[in-house]
Amino acid sequence: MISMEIRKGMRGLFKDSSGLLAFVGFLILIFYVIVATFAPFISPYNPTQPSGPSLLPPTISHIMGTDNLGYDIFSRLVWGTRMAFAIALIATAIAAIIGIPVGLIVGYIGGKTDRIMTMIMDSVYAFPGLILAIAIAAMLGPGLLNIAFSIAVVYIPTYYRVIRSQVSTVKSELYVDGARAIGAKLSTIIGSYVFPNVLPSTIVIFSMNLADSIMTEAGLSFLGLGIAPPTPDWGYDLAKGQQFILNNDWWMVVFPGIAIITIVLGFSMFAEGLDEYFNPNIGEKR
Amino acid sequence: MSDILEVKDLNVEYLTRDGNIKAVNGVSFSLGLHETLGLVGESGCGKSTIGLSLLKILPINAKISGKIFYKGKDMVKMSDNEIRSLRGKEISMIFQDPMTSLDPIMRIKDQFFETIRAHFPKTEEAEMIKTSSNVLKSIGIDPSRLENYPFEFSGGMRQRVMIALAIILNPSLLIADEPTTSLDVVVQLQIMEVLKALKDQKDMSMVLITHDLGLVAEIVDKVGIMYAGDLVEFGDVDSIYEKPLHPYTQLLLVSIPNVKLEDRELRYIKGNLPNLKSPPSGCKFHPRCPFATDICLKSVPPTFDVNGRKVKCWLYKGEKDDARKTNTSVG
Amino acid sequence: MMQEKQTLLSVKNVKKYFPLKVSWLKALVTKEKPYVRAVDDLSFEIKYGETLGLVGESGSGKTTVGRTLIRLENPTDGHIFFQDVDLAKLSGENLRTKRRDFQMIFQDPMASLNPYMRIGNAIEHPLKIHHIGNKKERKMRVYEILNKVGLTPEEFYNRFPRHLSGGQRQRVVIARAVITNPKFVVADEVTAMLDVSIRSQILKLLIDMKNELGLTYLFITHDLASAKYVCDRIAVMYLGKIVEIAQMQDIFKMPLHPYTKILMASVPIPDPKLKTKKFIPTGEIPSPINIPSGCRFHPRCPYAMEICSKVEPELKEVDGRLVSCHLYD
Repeated sequence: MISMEIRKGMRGLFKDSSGLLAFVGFLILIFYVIVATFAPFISPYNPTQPSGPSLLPPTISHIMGTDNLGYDIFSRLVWGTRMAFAIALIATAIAAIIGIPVGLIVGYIGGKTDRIMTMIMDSVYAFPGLILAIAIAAMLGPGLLNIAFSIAVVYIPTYYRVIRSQVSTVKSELYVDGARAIGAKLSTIIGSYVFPNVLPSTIVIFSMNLADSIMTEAGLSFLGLGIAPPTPDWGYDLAKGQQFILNNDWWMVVFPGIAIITIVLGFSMFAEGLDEYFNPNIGEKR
Repeated sequence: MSDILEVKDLNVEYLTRDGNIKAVNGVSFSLGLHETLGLVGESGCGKSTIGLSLLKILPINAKISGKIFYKGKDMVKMSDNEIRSLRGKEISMIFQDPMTSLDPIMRIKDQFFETIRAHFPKTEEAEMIKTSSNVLKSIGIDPSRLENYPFEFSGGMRQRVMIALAIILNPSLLIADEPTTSLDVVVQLQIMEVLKALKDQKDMSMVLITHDLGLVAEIVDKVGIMYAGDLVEFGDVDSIYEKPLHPYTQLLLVSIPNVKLEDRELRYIKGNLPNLKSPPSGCKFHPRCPFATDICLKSVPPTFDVNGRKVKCWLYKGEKDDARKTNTSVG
Repeated sequence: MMQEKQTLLSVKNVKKYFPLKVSWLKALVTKEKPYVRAVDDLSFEIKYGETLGLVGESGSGKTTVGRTLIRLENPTDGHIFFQDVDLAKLSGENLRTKRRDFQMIFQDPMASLNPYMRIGNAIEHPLKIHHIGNKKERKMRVYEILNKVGLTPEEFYNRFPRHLSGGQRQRVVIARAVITNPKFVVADEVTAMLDVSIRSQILKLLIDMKNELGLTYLFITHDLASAKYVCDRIAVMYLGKIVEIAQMQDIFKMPLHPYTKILMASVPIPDPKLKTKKFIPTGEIPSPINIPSGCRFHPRCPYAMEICSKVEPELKEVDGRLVSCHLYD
């Protein structure tokens, strides 16, 4: 019975290209989740210890080669998946936990509070994301939580802006008037009537931000502001490989690069698909 | 052949993600020259879909079958080019919402010119201004307002402009889909007066699509009552209002609030409109019909001829034979 | 029975002006602030158990009146005496707890229910907000009221609004509006968005609920025909003012104000033989930003006299009803 339902759902998804897009994105993400979960079983070597000669091109024993210190690149990439997910999830969660409630309350109350808050958020938003993250990361120093926080700051305005604009339309809906008419408290109106109706749009930003924050994290690590070595991290590996590219040691750059690109693609394709799904104007025909 | 329009066994189905919707179900009717037809029904009955079919501007997920003869030619089979040469010139349409049907950043004048040039590309500007002015005057708008933008018009005036746009090329068939629904009661009456005057002045057939039985009563010659994709009753206006045959028509007529009647007893049709994705078996009206019998549950009623009127209801099964008898005896 | 003579709601000189947005540059130059005078100095009374119809075109301000009476809008000026309390002066917690006594049913049943709240919860919510009963009692009450509005509780309790038709949703909205046993309900164009065959059902339900629960209605509509079936008295509104207020029968037998006459003539009658009425009104309701001088109706009035453009008429008693028109000076 259930498999029937799933198959029906799949067929629905495949009917248009957006569904296919979401599905491929979903597959990529599932792949990386499995890699992250089973990292100890998949990786052939310890990622934080040399396992062979340095700068070895891809061979059968080291399928992605080794780096200048003789670390197995494949093992580092496998373990690095965990770091990518951890930072992306923590950063996005922090951004959402701050951005969503502020957007909800400010959007509903409106007036001067709204104008001031929007000005602050817009100025953060206008700041180039990576540079802002670099500044904060430089202030806070390395470490998983610090990195996650500096990335989160960049994305708070995204949540705030989307939620606030949604709230300002939802709050003029009749059912919100209805909630006021039955004597609901402000907290009840925002919690039970406004929030559920703006939630779908946040799910989409959530998955887009996951993609973005992986990029930003890679960028930070690339600049040496990320996770302290030798913890496996894609951005750090990419940065290191860059020093050797002139020696034709291409494998140190190409594989971490592919990893970053595919996971970001996975998240954004999935997000795009979700957007189509949650946006009733596109999704429903007639 | 005196009929300008003959629709034969028209079926329209919308294909959607979760199931197909039969919006129009084997509808047949005809409309004579200079006749006005009122297509009346509630939301989802398929009346607007028929309107769109007559111009072949159905959404892409629609599947159409059957025949629509316009002046003897089957529109369903026509090529896109042939259809395009008909639209606006031979057949034109007025939509429900005058606020969104006009291009907001174009002067009224230019919208008229565009329509004219679409069919007569070489028309001189002076001539176009003359034609546009005359049309505007005929429906009660000062020609100086050609220079205005749509937002400078009130709702009623905008609908007048829409009508002017629709009739500027003297079409033979005008389709008006709920032309007054988004307007206020008073303005509604004004627009109906404009349409009535048009009907008298021009050699034009009209299809008026509406949910309001009261509104069309005084302007149409023929009435088609639609319910859940079916044309349940079709005939001339006086006889339908005087002696409705189909139970749905009967109930609809007594359930409309009427200012003229003395009594204040509210009559109504029980139940809800059917879901078109899973319509009731047999006659689609049977769950709400006070006269429903076993046969109504089981099989779809055919359309019976009763004294020159058509009615899709099992109640008239016997009378069909009578009608045939009288016909043959006359013949 | 005693109660029926008493006044439940007394509206005195209520005004609701909406400030218009002006660019700050313009605001510097002109001192006076432009307003939309949606409701302009309105006074009327509603008695216990009565249904007062408020009839007018869109833009007449009738919906704003309803929203102001139940304090979804703050009145710019005036008093709204509900029993002995002036609702216009209430605020904060006092207003919030008082809300169980007056409710509103909105025009659009598609938009007046939270799409993410199940029917049962939506109807129960007012009870929860006002701490009425415990969980079990509240559920019983919801079942009871669902039955009353003609929806089988077992079938509808756990559904979401999107699964309901317009008529069914309007039943839910009505159930929710009356579950706290309010004394006064504003019904704003409750049938305007519904299908023809559903309209009379809902009107009938409103009448039944009123008789059963002893409600008092303000029935806002543009449709005089449906007002005839529901209302005891009718007030006709034009551009923020009441132009005529009278017993329902009087209005239908003999409308006095020219605007009431026009409204009456505009009601379509489902009879092709009645091609007699030839009182076609001209023009459209002007914007409430630029209200005409004198009598607001004079530019459209077929009987307009010189005085009409200069002096604004007041509501005066004529033949036992109130009319504001210089014809009856």
